[in-house]
Amino acid sequence: MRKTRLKGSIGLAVAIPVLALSMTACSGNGGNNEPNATAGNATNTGQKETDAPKQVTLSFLSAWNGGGAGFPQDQVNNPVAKAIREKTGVTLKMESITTSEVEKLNTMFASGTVPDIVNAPYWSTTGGEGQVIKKAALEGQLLDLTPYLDKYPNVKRLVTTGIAKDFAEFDMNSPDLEGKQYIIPTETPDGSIESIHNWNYGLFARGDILKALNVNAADIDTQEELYDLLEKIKNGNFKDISGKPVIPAGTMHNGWDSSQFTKGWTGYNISDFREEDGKLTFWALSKDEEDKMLYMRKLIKDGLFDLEAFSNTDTTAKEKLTTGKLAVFGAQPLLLDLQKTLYKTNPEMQYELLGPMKNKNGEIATQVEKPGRSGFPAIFLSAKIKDPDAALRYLDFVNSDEGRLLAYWGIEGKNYTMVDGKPQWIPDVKKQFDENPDLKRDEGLNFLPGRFIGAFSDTVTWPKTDDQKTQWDKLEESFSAKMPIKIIDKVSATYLEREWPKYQQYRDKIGGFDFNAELQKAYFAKSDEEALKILHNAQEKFKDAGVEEMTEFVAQKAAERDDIGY
Amino acid sequence: MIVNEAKVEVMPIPKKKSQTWSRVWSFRHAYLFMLPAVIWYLVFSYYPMYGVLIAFKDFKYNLGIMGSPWEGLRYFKQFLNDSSFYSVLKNTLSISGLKLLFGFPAPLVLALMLNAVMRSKIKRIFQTISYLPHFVSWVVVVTLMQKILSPNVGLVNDIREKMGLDSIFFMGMPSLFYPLVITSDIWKGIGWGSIIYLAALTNIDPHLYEAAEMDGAGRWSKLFKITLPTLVPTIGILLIFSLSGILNAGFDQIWLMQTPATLSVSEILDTYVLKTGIQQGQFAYSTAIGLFKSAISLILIITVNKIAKKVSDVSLW
Repeated sequence: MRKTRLKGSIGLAVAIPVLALSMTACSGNGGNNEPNATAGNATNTGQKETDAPKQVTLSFLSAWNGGGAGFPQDQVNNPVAKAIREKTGVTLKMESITTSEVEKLNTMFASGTVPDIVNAPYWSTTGGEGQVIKKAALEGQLLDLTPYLDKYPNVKRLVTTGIAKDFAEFDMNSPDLEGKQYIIPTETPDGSIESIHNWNYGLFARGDILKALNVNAADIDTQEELYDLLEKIKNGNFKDISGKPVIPAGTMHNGWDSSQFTKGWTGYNISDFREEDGKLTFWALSKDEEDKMLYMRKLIKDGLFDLEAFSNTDTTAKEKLTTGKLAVFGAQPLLLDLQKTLYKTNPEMQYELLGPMKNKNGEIATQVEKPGRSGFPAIFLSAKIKDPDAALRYLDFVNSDEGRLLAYWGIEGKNYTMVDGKPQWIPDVKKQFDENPDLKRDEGLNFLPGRFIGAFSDTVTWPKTDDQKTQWDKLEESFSAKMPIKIIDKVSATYLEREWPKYQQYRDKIGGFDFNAELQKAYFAKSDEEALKILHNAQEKFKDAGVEEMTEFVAQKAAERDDIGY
Repeated sequence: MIVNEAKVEVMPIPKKKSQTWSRVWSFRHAYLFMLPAVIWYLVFSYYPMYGVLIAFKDFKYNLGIMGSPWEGLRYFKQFLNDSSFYSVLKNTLSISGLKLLFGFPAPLVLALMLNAVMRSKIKRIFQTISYLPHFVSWVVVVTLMQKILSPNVGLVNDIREKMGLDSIFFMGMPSLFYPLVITSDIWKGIGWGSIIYLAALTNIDPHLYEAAEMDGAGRWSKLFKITLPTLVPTIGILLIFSLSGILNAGFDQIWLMQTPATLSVSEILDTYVLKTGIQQGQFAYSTAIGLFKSAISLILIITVNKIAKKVSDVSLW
């Protein structure tokens, strides 16, 4: 009997802690309760009051699908992280996602598990991730940075520099935010036009295939020529590196960026509205939507486009890319992925920029920008962060002159030397980094520029001489030269929507409606008739929500001003 | 005799006052085994149930579930008026119905076939092989399907191309979506599902078969006159469970198999809940849809149970 009791007690003794442990594991708090996270109050600036900065560990989430690619293998003790810790006392515990950004943000906010620092997409406050972030800010999940900004001049500079005027007025400082500042823009230009980053979106075709077909990449700049090229590729019996047939055209994960294949229907637009036949039209109701959709259908139907393009994961898409499976792909040049894989094993396959494609006005279809960025990757802090000063101290430092040198160039004497006031790679280091980009990543030189630094351009601050540039730098530059950014210094007509009295009703009706999902359904419909029906039904949804009346309102309002752009 | 008396003393009939607790105490070890499951249900099923309140509230992060303002039946009305309502419900019922039609009898058929195998070694091998897919997660199963059926690198299409046939995007054809769902579901669940029938089959008194054989009954006669009637209670209970879960078309399987090309036939209640809730942040709306589903399931289980009780005396309660 005693033995049985003992067994029972042991059983309970094991079961209860296991249950407790599993429950604790399920209630993660994004790292706010790290054992060595030191509680601080908002007025304590740590470093300013004592010589040795207060040691704090903060959690950081890069809420970008595949956003961990730049993280060094040793997050804590890589040279750059160590140098920052010496200056700020802050250690970052970084995590990222390999799923949908908006899904992660929604789950995180609903469960109240917001990491101390988050970087997430912030393209607009009326849709997608930006809308989710704004809702979270209004509902107390994010820290109001307003009281801190004056203490951190570099962070304050990020909040005010390199942002399009209209975006700053209507999105970042919209009246419902009541003057509070919740987000810190990153990857923004320094205020000058030349510092606006060119992302080089376009169509890229495998060089060896173009050569075999005797096609000059620059000659392919219309939708018809693109179709003909893809058809030739299909009939050309070309193979990937494993000897299997190529797919004539494709994209990266979830169809990113299939829109490159329909550039012929675009214009230089900065708003949701298009001018057609002297009349203003909402983009989804534009006549071009039918033509674009039917063109994509034709590519799919004729076996010219990857059937799995819209369901590819990041992994499967990259597998296709790096094995030369895609004869033509639409996205950025993706040199980071290609230079260490396909371009190493099969340099003859190096992709060439097609065109650039022409838009419907016969102009180069290129990146359209305002003088500042309208939407950007943004940092925000959790309302529950125990030591906001530590986070801001970190951000302020990495955005200082010293911090940026550290972020981009590493340790002076070890990675670079200063020549005439400009950093230059130590030749051996440069050689190693060029040969193996992962070494640069693990040195801690890739994770800060993309996610923590803003109002800055390394190419403007430290222009490289030709002999300092890698072949990949030169390749990127050659793409940018062919697709120069188009600057439109106007206020987007999209912002006039918000003055429409029925705007909120419209938002309620249209909220959550995914036009792209309907388009993709139409791409795969049985017949063109069925596809058009799907498209028209989707357009009807906008009409039912009152989009035509809203467009009329916007047209009237726009006519009253001379600074509105479409 | 002395031994028997001693046994009677060990298990005394409890007095009326503390009868229940005495019985619990006497089976305390059995209850201890149940404890983890009970705690699991309390923590993960009953405790979160208060979250369904979100369906009736305008959920705000800062106010939490209890503090958010009430919205009444707004989200239920919104769902019933949603343009996706009928297609989502139709897809859910279609997939569940087909799974019921083909997937429900499959384990029974396998169990009967296995039961007919005389060599126990072969029987065991088949049993083990058929159980294995149950332990493979849907993520692995669907990834395998995607690889095998891929139009670009898939084995099946490679064979088709060698035969001079065109490559087919199996996972992207609405007409093939249901067959793929049903066959993969049967493949994965048939072995595991047959266990309960095999257990029931072992309980059939062999004398019944011997008597039937003496009366000249053949294989089919024994199957229809002895085996199946004996299995009716088991089949009945499992059918009640299946019918009550008819709105569960299998979230993980469908979610993973869904492609933009098949959305028109593959959007089911559970995937729609995930999209509206987690992807679009409409937590109240998606909870309302989830609650709608649960309410229908509850009504179904009560109704089916009542009917089953009336018709065949088989019931859950």
